[in-house]
Amino acid sequence: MQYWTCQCFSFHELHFSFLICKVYVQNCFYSCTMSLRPRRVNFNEMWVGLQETVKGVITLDNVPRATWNSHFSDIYAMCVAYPEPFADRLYQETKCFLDNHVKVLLEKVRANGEANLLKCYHQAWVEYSTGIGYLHCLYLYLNQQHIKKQKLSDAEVIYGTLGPDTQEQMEIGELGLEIWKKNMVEPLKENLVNLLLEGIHYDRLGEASPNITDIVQGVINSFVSVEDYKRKGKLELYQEIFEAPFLQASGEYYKREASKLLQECDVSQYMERVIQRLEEETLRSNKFLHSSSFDKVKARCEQHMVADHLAFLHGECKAMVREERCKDLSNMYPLLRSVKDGIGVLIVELLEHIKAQGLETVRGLKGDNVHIQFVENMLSVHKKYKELIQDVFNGDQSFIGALDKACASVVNHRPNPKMACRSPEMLAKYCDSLLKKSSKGISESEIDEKLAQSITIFKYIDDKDIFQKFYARMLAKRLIHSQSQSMDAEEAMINRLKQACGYEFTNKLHRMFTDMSVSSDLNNKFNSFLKLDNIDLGISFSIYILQAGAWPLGQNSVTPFAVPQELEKSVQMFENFYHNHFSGRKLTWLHHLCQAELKLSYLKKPYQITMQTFQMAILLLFEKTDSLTCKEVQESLQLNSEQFGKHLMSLIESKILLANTEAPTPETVLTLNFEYSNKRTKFRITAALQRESPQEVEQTLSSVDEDRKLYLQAAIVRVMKSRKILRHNALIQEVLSQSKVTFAPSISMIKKCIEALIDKQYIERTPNSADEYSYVA
Amino acid sequence: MYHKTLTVPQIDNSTFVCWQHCVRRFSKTEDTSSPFNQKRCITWFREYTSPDDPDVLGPEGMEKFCEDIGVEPENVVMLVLAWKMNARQMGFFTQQEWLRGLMDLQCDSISKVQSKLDYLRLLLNDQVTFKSIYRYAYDFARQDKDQRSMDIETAKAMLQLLLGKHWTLFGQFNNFLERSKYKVINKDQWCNILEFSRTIANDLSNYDVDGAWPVMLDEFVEWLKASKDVRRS
Repeated sequence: MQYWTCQCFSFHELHFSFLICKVYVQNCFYSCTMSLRPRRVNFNEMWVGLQETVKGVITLDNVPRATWNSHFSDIYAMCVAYPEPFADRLYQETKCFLDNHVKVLLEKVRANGEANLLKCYHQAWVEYSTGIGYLHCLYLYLNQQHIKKQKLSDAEVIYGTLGPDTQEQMEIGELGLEIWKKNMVEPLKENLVNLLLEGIHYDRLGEASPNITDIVQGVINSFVSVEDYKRKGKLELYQEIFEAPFLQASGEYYKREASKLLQECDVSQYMERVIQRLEEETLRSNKFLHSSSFDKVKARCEQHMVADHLAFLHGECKAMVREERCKDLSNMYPLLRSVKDGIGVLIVELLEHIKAQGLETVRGLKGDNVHIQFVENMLSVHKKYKELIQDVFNGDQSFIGALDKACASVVNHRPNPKMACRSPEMLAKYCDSLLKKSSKGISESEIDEKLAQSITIFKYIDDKDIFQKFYARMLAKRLIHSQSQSMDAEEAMINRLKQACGYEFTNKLHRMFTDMSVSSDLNNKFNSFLKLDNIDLGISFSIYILQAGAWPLGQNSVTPFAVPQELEKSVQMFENFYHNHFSGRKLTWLHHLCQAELKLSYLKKPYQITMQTFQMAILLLFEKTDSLTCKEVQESLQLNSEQFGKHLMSLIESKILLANTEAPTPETVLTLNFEYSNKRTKFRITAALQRESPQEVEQTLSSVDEDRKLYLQAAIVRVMKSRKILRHNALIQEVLSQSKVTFAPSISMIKKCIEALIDKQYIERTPNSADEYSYVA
Repeated sequence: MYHKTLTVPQIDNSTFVCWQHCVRRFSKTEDTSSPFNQKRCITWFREYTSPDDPDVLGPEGMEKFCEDIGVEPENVVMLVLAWKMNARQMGFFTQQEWLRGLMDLQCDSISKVQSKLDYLRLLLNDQVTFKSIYRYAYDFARQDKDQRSMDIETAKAMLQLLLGKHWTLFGQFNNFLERSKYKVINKDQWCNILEFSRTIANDLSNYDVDGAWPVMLDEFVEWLKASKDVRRS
């Protein structure tokens, strides 16, 4: 009894799940009255009865349970027969039977004519495949105990070399399918396939009759099922007799349809129809075909409707992009993406278009706020196309890349190839205008947002080191003249730059910042020191101490100046104080950047005027006298002509001083203007200090060139020191990648630096190679 | 070989051979088969030096020496001879250099040296030797030994001497140098000119402007291409 039980549970291995079988076997278990001992068997006799049942099972006839049971055990008896088992003979007889059965079926199917072939085949198949499933169950014992044991292992089948006459026995289910394949499918295959293709064709035209779908699907499926048990090459039959001709026919169909559409439609309609066709074909594939064919059909359709007409589609891209026809573009995108080398042209067109649009917006900008226009126009172009790419191209990375390239090329564009690009300067000015105190009523959050957006433009700039120089200069001015709107905003901006470029880049900016807070600390200490010693300077006095290396203030801009008497004590006191605190440091006074508040008490109203130190120094000379000549003033103060002239003119222009000649000469007499009046009693006069003069800009740009050469040379030496020997191309690449954070050097510049280093004997060419260098220790 | 202003006369082989024969006919007949004698070599050296400076053969001695062996001072053979001696300064031979070179050649008399002239000339045909001579020429011909570079005029003359005959583009290169802002040539550029003349096709088709060539040669190529375009249009 236990033996039977084992057999029951091995049903999981069967291809066909039949509840009936299970039920039958379980019944056997319960109503088994047979002995299990091997015994003598009369095969021929037994076979006669068995064969009847087999026939019944295979034709889905009504086979009573008892009959089933008895023949089930007959099979067992045959297999364990004594003295010799009849397993092989059983197998052969069964095989023979099935063979004939299918041959008869074939005649039957053929008999009904071409028109009904599909239907009849399908019917026969459904019956047969079901029947063979049951039969497989009936022959359970033979399958499990006899056939399976002889089977080659999976590994031997898949990887081993089987000879052509490896005639192993198959389990009955598989045997049945094999015989169907050989006797039914093989002879009919051409006719069947033709009819199938016809059927699908009608389906394409929308003329299929409703029940034909099932038949077609079933017939196609039979080609798959018939080999499903195979361990290797499961879809060979399907692919060979059906899939190949089907793909061929479909291809022809798509070709014709494409030609027709091209004649009738414009590109917009064409694309819509193609997309529609692709969708339809996907549904159709699902309906009829085996899943392995889905992609192949799609590829075929794409090939004939898109790839074959790529030139036409590509030709339309330019106009489509230029006119920004979003609907068309969003159709074009998936079609081109699906074929090889399809999408490149579209990406290029978009790039060119964005570039043209960008250049258009920044061309010929005029006015005082050119820098604002430049940045904001660029940002709006960027935003527009970013949104377009998101909507139309699904945010595809390749298109974003094109956007970046286009923007970079616009931002770094040089209208005059001989002059450097102005973008870094303009961007720095833009940031400056946002960070400076202004009367415009922009909210803090709006400023913050604009500064954050400016980083987008910053990332596109090639000459980032030029930007840094301008930014540093403007920051210095803001800090010294207390023009910053908000220290938080300043710090936030520096942090943003650090994130974009690294620590090196913002190092100096940070140091400028810390100098400010250290200075305020120092001022407090100085004041307490004065209080402690009860020293009265007579004026109130505050200092900024700036680290010379971090501030772009230029040591050479310091001009001679005789400190006015009124300031002497303070200057001296502070110097003493500072040197006591920090020995070994040199202080250089930058009087030309300092300012003072002077109270005028000689007029009808008292005025408090904020002015430059030099201006104040000039006026202080009039403390004891009302008039002086220019020569006297200049000599007292020891100012150079440029500084003197500039500051004097501003005093004359503001009418605080009067001059008795049009243009100041050394003999011109200057007098205080006792009639001076102003609506406001507290105000400031500025010399033309604030604006960037063109010379300053030139200076900045040429110093950048020098810095870059040094930077490149340092980079080359660094690389060569670590690599010892390096080929020319590799060295160039290394240097390019290291420097691209700050600027984009030209290869010619790098070569010049290499030559300079060869001349200075830091590196040399290796003796026997044309393009290799080695480090000279 | 001495050099005041180096104008290089173009002497072709046939003239030279004739000249050589003339000199030979009138020179003292000496035994060219006797073995090399160092003392004799030194004695011969002394014929060209002055009592004030017995160890150095200067411009005057050089002139006489050239006359004796029948070679013009500007002839390239003199350069090869100097190279053999590893002479440091153009126009001068020290005794050490004289001995070094002539011992290598196994010559201690005028006729022996004359018999070696063809051999010396043939040395220029060997690629490797020529390269060595070419490189040597840079340091040798440099006027100011304190500076590391050679002035442009000397460079043009030396290039004419060494490359003028065999490098098709030499004339163009000369023009280029004349019109350029270059006042000196450094050793790296010098050496690369030879490489250029040996490896780059006349139509410049195999020149890689991003390659390891010195910027001077990049500029030459650019200039040449531009002038070709001008001519074509």
